[in-house]
Amino acid sequence: MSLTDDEMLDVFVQESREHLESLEPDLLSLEDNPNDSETINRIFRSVHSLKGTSGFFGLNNISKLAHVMENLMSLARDGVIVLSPPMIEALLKGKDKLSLMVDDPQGSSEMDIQAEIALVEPFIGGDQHTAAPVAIKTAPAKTVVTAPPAPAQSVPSNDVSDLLKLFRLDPKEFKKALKNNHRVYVLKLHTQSDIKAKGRTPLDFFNEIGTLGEFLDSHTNLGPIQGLDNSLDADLIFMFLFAAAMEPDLVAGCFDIHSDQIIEIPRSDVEKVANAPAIIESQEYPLPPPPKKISLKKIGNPTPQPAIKPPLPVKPQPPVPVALGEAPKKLSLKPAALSGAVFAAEAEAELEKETSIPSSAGRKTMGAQLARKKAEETIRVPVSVLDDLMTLAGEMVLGRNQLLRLSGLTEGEIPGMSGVLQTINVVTSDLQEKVMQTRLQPISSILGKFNRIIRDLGAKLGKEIDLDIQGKDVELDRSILEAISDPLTHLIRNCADHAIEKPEDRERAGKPKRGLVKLIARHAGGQVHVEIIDDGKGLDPVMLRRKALEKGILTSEEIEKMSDRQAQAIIFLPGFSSAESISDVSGRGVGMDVVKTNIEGVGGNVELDSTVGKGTRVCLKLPLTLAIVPAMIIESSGHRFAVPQVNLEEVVSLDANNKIEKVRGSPVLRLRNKLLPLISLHDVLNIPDRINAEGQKIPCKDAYIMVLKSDQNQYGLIVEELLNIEEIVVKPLSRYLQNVKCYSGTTILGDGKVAVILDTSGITDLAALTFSESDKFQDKTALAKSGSMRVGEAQSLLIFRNSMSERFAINLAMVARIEKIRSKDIERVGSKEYIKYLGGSLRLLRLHDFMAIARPTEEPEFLYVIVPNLVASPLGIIATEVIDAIESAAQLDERGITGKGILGSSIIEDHLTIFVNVYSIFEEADPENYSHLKDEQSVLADKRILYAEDTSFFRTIVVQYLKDFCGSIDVAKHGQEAWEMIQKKPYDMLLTDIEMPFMDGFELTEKVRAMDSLKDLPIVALTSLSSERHIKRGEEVGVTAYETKLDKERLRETLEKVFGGGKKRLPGPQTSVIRAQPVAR
Amino acid sequence: MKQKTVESELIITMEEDLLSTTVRSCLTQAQKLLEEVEGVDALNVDISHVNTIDSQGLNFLVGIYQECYSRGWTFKVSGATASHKQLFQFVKLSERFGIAG
Repeated sequence: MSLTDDEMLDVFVQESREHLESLEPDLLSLEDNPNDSETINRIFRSVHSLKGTSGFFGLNNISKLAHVMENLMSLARDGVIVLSPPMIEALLKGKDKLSLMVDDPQGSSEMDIQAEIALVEPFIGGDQHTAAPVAIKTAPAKTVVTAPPAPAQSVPSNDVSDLLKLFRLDPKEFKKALKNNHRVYVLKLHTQSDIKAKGRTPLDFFNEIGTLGEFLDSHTNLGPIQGLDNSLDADLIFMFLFAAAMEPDLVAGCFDIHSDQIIEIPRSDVEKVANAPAIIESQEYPLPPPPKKISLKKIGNPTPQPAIKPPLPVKPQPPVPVALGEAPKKLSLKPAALSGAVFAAEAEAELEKETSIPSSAGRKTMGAQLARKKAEETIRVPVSVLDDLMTLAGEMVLGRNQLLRLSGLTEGEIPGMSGVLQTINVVTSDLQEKVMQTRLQPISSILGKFNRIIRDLGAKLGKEIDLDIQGKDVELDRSILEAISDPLTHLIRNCADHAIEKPEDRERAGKPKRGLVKLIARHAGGQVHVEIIDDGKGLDPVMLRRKALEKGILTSEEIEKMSDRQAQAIIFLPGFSSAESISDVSGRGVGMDVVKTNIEGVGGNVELDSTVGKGTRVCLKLPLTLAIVPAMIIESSGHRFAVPQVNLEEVVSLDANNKIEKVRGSPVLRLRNKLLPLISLHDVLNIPDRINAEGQKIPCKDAYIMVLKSDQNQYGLIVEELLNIEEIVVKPLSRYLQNVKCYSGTTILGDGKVAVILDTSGITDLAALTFSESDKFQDKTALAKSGSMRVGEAQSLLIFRNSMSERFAINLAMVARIEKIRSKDIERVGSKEYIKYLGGSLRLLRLHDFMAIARPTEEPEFLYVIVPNLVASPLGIIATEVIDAIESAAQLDERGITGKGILGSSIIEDHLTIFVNVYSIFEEADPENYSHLKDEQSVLADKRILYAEDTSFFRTIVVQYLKDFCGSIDVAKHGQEAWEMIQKKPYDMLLTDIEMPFMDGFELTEKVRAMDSLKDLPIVALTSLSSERHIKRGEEVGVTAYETKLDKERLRETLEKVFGGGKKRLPGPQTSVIRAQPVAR
Repeated sequence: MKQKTVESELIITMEEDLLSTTVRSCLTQAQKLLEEVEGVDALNVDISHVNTIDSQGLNFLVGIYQECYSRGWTFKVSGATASHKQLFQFVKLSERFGIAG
């Protein structure tokens, strides 16, 4: 089936694009290695092919420009010139124009190529873009034929006349050729390398000749075949006389042969033949008589044998014009009786050796072998076919699942069935995997262009930038690759334009002159992470805030509440550009928000991390494929849904330990010191309840919470049932559901039923759930109204009563144990009360003796004694009732209720709860043991301390305590805030909790130690994490000392030791960590 | 491949296409045959059962032709179809293969 013109043009465009794609990286690599002959040859072949094939279609501009570029590459290939950067620049410009023209073949004739030609021509000298052929072989008289390094030279007629002697020349045909303005060529072909290797049969090939021009005559050199022995491997040489309107380059392209194999007969010689009086017979020898064999070996006869028959009479032979360049003396050396075939064989062999017309062996260079091998290993397949294969594979998977399910019903009934099913199962899985692989492409397919982008931008902006690309082989679904190509381009251009400083600015900042941009692709946890890291100036939050205000994107109120990290995320807002002037390089203010949207559109997300003066890291987290994904199948009131596993963090069973609680009417789950906002799938989708046989509704029994990720936030989805995990084939939503944002697609489950795939971000939108950090900076009031919760500041509290009216709370970290005692077991010594405790005695305190609170009206039979932790001389606190031990993120109100022994108050579980200041009560109850350190002058008296602690309880206690002997204390509520504060003001010490939201204590310590100005700052960790692992981690990051919450005396001692106070001077940072030990009692 | 001798003419009948996938076995058979045969001064290759001849098939025929010349035998190809004849004309082997017109 022949191709239509349009189809042929499509093939031309595809092939040309492939040539052009490889051209650019090859040219760029030549800048560093201009003598790399393999690359030069590859480039030459690419432009040569472009020239030839475009000419065939009459795409003259493409052909002309490629021709000029080919000329330059020819000079480089032949060693006449060495490619310099200006030459490569000219070739790159040419390549760009060729790309434009190949993308619009019909419009290419209107495109101006003079500028690109003018760039190349000075390097090759003169006007080279005429139609003169580039590498026409000459045939000098009695000398070898060589490949010319320069543009075409005409063939001397006497040489051609020798060539013509091989053919039967009909003057009429030559006259016709002249009349039609045809050129006459001698083409030289090898059966193996020019016909067989290209998948053609000789007959097909010769029939094709007829479609391209006029076949006049041929000559076959049988010399390479001397007998049956080498017949199959030999490369017979055909020469044929051919008349056509095409130029030699086109002839080469049409026949897919090297231009060295084409000899044009000059017009003068054509005219000579045309004017001949009669047909000129070939001077090739006539059919020779059977020779007496001399030089050919008989098969099966290793030693010469006498002839079977007497030699036949030898007829006189005409002179044998066997080949070009054959010297007459050679003829005389051969006996006349030798067969023409043999003689021709040897002469041709000589010709082969002496000429540089490449033999089949000669052309098998490494590059050609590799190219051929590569061509055999790959095949071009339309993308639509791959998509269809994917669909069919998906259907096959579904059919397999159904078959397996049905087979379970008939198990054992059909002998051998299980084995067959097993085979089908395995083959189907393999097929699915292989088909998926056809859609996977290495990310290098879109990364390659960035070398050129960085190079060009660097030159344009006067910056020196290196690009380091890692992970080129990481593969992604092609649809994802298509989607991220533009965003990546924008990010790279941003690095060059905004991030990397000019060389002089970098030197002033103590940085290397050349900026570095790293582009790293890697697999991570079932996703692909693409990081763009630069060592530029970083994102300045102060400048970003100012710009956002100037542009009216945010109000001053919103900006005031923003942390530096939030300020850096301003770049993702629509309409923002931080460039002082919008350049054509970047900065039209439509970039980063589109980047974010595009990435999220394929199920990925964008993370940003930047340090002023050091650089920026942008991380794109992408799914591997959109076509088949692992998913958890869930059910709610009989309706099934699929949740992509990439969004699923964990699953929690609802039971006594994990209960749904309400905060301001919104459901939440306490999950490891954090409050997780919850959404009920049944409610948010308004799923109708099931109806039983009696017509009654069966309410949905929510049993599980799926902890899901939405952007960088988490929430819990309450569901009724978890079914199983399946690899699902993602099918697009029906057009009727396209605008339903909580669904991202549909799938067919193994039992044939349809399930909708949930979009985790869409679910939060539907439920109107907002998150305080990633949304548009809503104020706290709005946040509270929406019912969302801040994550963090949750603490473990012991809630108890002293009398029946009031509730009290102590942080559980302060509680060593709780003892239940009988009231009658309390013993009194004077005004003090004691009980027997652990072989000794424990003094007891009643809160109403030290705090302005109600007394119990009666003494119950049983009481509780709360024994505190980490105090020098513990006293037992009597409670009439221990209510509960809970996790609460309630804010401590220090102002509402004040008084002796009161830290503050809060509303917990809808009850007013008073937080007990254990230390102040103990100081009052036992001043001898608890107040003696207060009056001593401390080495900390003039020190400024920054204290980072997210739990308000400990913040209050520790600050109150430290105020007594420290110079000043500033407080940060989490690590990020502490980091921002420490960069702005000088401190003498950092005292930090470890477990904090946004930035924990370890990360804070690492950042502090990384800054030159802060690397020696004493850092004391004050935490409840006292395992060996945590202490070791503290050592690794550079913590000076490590204290467990909360032994106040030990804390003071440790802090003082850091500054050389106390009994023992500590060694410097990084070398000493004090391990906190509870005081033994 | 079948063979028979008629007077002093050895007739080899090719029974399958002369393609790169088949000629190797034909070559082995032909080599053995030529080694063993006696009293022959002409070789006739019958290709009436051959549909397609590719490059290696053509090489095979040329190989037999060269073998004949080395032995002083005459050589011809019989049973050529129109397309075979066209091919042999293209490559200027018609005369050598004893094919008229």
